[in-house]
Amino acid sequence: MKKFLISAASLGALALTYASPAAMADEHDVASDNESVTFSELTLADGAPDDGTCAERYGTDYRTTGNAENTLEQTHNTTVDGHDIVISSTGGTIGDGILSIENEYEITFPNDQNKEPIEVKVFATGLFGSGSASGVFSDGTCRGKVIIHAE
Amino acid sequence: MKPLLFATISIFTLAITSTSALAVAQRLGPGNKAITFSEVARTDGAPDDGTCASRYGEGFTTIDHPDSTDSALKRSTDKGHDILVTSIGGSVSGGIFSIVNEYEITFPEDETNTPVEVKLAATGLVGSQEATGVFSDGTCRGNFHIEVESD
Repeated sequence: MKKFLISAASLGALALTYASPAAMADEHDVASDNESVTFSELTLADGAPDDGTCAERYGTDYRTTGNAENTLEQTHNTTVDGHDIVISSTGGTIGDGILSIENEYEITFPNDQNKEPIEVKVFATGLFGSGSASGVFSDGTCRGKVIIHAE
Repeated sequence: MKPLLFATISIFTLAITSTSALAVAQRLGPGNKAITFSEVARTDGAPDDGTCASRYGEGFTTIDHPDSTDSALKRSTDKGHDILVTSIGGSVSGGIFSIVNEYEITFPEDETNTPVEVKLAATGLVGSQEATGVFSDGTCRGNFHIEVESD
């Protein structure tokens, strides 16, 4: 159960709207739920002002399409803007009404003509059942704050 | 190297060794820390019987503990809490960090002096000198904010 919750508490499938593990267990199509992801305080990873790269990558909110493809190997998500997102690593803790998330994604940006995936790390925390988590993200070049809302 | 760093980093810990100095500096670093709580409620959704308000109704500032040793990391507060650091975890990467720690806290208003196990998870931007996250002691949970006080 624990493992399932943690792996579900990700950008592709966020367990935030569920008030209890029991409710979670009753919900089979969790992965198809949409999330919106909002970025703020964008700077370069060392804190220097953005040279434009970060605004281009994270200047708009992400909204997943809800058409996640889950295979044994990976969870694959897309956004309405055409981001291609693969969850490459999930982790975190959950218990006593709180949760922490440490996830890694490979994101291909719609405006990248080389279609080269970029590794993005997200650390976030939330109150279980609140429907949202907030934290920070970094892709090694850009960093900032992130808020994830289950819709 | 990495496990060693994790083991020696703590938001309440001042036990800086040469190996951990860099990582500590990248997270919140040494110094007194002002902690404030919000959205404090019972973990099970029941109305607060006063326990949560008395424990977390007011913030506090962590300070050095006279009895802290390398084998038993302790912190005190301006309100007279007695804090034992029991578990330290988290990551630092690409300009962002996470903290997943556990403590045994004896609250000043508790006449029985019974330690309460408190776990917390927080995230932050390296260099910002602050972090936000969630906490739970099994009875109460909520959001918290932590800020390093300038000298």
